[in-house]
Amino acid sequence: MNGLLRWLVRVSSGLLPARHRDRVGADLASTVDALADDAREAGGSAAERAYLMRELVDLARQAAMLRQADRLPVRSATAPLWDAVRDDFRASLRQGRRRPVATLGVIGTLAMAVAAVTTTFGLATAVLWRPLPFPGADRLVFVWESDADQTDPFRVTSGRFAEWQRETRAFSSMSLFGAAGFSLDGPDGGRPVRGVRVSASFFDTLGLRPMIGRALQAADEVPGQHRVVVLSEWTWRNRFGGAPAVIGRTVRLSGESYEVVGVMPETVTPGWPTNPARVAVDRELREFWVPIPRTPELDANSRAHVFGVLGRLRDDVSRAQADAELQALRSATSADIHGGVSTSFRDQFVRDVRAPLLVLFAAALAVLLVACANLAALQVSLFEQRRSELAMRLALGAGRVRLAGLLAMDAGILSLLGGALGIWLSRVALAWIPGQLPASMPFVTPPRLDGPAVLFACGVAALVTLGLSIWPMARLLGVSPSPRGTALPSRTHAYRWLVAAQVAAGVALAVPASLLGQSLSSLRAHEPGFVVDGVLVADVSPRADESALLGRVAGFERTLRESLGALPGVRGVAMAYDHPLEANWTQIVTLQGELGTRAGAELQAQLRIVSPSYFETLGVAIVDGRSFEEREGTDAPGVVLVNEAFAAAHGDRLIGRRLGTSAAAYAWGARVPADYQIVGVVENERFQGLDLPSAPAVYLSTRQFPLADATLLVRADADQGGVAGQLRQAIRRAEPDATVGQVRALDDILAEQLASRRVTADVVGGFAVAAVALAVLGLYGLMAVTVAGRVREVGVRLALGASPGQVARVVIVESLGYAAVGVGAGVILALGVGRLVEHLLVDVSASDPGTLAAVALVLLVAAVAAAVVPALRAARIDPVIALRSDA
Amino acid sequence: MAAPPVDQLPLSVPVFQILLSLVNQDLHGYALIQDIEARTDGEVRLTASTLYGAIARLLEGGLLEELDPDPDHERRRCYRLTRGGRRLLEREAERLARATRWAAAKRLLPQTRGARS
Repeated sequence: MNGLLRWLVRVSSGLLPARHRDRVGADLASTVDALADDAREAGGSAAERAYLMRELVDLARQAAMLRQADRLPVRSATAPLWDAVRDDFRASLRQGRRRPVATLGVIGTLAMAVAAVTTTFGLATAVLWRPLPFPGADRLVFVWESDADQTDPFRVTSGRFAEWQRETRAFSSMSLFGAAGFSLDGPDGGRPVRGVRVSASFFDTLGLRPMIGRALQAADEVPGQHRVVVLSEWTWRNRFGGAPAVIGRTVRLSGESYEVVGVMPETVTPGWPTNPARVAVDRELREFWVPIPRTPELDANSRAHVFGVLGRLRDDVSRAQADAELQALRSATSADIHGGVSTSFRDQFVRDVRAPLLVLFAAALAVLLVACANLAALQVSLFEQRRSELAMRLALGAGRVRLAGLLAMDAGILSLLGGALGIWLSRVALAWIPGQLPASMPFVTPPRLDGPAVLFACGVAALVTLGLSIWPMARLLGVSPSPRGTALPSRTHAYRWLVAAQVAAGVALAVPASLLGQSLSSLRAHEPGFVVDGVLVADVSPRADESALLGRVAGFERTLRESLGALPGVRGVAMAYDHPLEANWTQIVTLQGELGTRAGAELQAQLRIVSPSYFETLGVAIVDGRSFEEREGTDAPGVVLVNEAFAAAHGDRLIGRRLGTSAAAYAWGARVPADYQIVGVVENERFQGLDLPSAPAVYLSTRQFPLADATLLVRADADQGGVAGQLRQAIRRAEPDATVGQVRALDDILAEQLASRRVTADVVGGFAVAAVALAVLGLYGLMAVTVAGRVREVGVRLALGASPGQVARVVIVESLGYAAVGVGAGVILALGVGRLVEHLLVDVSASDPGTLAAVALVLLVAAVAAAVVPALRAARIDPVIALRSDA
Repeated sequence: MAAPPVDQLPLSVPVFQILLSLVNQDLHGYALIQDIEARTDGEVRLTASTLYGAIARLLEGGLLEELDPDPDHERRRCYRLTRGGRRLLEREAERLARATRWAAAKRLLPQTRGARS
């Protein structure tokens, strides 16, 4: 520190006027050293530092005083380069201050463009590129069961998992995880909480260490010793006050006591496995972890496809080799049809958002390029205005390098200010955006402005500087000085190309933006197959012993229907395992052949368990046969409905045929029918999302297949807020023990499912508007400069008899010409960009001619509009004055 | 912070002290700082910058002259008062003495021999 200060004093002595410095500089330095040594001897390094600081201040004061006395400009002989830079800097600031609006416009444009790219870069980094917070994360995979061709993977049975563990050698460890829905018992009743049940090895496979307490261990898997729970950091902080004393505490989950043994740091740990082969990332779906008790039944279960499998590949095994091994296992065990397939850890979460994110990033880059082209065009026009000044300077002997430096400084200051503002903006945006996105957005690492993002932004700013100054510099370096000051002839070719490029980029952004917008609205127009408006959903569970479940469940449903149906504005009440925008249960069913044909085709179908009132409440039409009846209970012969997709896939004469399922394994011990007769066909529901067609599905009745955890569906036509409040109270009154989850509108759930598309469409749309606006501004600027540069020519034309209308037309046609070149290039670009967004599109082709034509038309109209003012200006030129001017 | 010409009264504290220290001896910068500090009981403690700033101006005004460094003994240059410098210092001392008498006449100062007479 003090050494640095001494050095600083020595260097600063260069501030003294040269003749004084030559005289006393050396003595000054040696005296400073001596005094500093004295100070150190007397009072240690603090005194030395104090002395040196005093010295620095005095030195500055003396230097200023001596210079003032000399009335010399402050100029250091040791740093001529720095002086030149500083002079350029001041000149640039003067240039900037002379045109405040233009300067602020440039800085603002740059800031927005830099913010857009930096923010999208930050988001993409967080999701796609930043390393995962686990050691050896590239070895982590999810493993799913799959068909022979390894497409359409689905959840895994515990039996298959046991087999994989036994038979494969590609994995150094493998763990099972599944959904764990409990009611967290508190003083004011139960509240549903969602955690994950896992093999004891789960955290070891992941490579995650507890922040306090311990992870799970093998002993926790022993039935009877399995009532331990590991909390997530979020749960620990928000539900348990964040005190370390939580270890050893007992929590009541669905009536059982669990001991808290550890807390896991908040990071991207797998949440619920859902179908088809998805893993939730929502914090609410992984509040805690409980061990799966290892029983012989668990290892033998080859029917319940409810688990996900997390695996860690051995270091010498590739994912392809692992997949091959999993598939080979399939042929060895001839009895069943499923193989296995792995997905890399990151891909599992991000594959759905990779394309939208890259589209956003590309769109932001395009905006940046347009902004740069716009600003470069502005620079060119400024250069043209200054060219006689610059030529004069060259003629007077100014160095080219020096002048080029001056130009670079102009651009450098602008991009520095714009870049800094942009970085700050993107910092704000990155903090704000995650809160605006649905919880299912897979931020596998937290989005923030980190080193790479800042570096990226700086790189962008540097490139912008280069881009803005390179053309004027090239012009400057390519000409010879001339005393007449005309060595730099006006040239605006580059300007024209830049403007045409802006138009092209505008088109290339506007086309995909329009396509994404159209896709979103056509998705919204898709008939979901059920009523969305006014439908409220809530998870409910009648807390009951498993033994008493059957009786309770039937009664529970009846009580709820009666008490809720009496509420004003309620038009229907139904129960279901999944609400209509969920599909969590894939089941193998056996469809018996028609009489006389061979029996038993094994098929995969979505299993949906609904109350008899479901179809009417949600407006799902029965297209053939009949619906369930209330009185068809567990004693009656089993009945099943299938959807149109099932009927289409497996033959239209289905009614009356029999269908077997093994779903009884999940009937909580209730005696349910072993096989079912198809009695009706219902309309397709798009329960896998509006963008996916309905999969084949079979419907069972809650009367014959009672549910312990169900979704309550209430259709109301009054204001939903009021009903939602009364709903909770009514359930409490009817069933004081029941747990009730959050009451949500189906509308909101649908909006959330569409959120990623909506955000993509909105943001790309915004970028496109910005790009088109910049392009129009660019066109306007070009035409204005062109007209200003041709005053004389226009004057001659007018003098020779051209009408003002003809002159205006020439200007407008010229603008249209540039726009047409840009549009032509833009359409070709847009066709290329279309491939990037292709699989985000619904009901519209990436090369949709209507869209291309519409966008082209908009740009051409805009080009005319941009040329109107310059055209009018040209038309009003007075030939007498024009011919006298020297332009 | 425009500096007044160095030969204009009143003298700044550093200039006055530097001239005073050089009345009967030639000193280099470091010795000057130490001499001034000792003479004023630590009341005036110059930094090297202030010292050399003042020296630079005094040299330019012809009030000091520098001696060629003695190669055997001392690397640093010593400074000597010129006649002009001496005259300037005397004028300043007289000015200060007058000022002190005026202050004493108002009994602002502790009783001194001069005041008593």
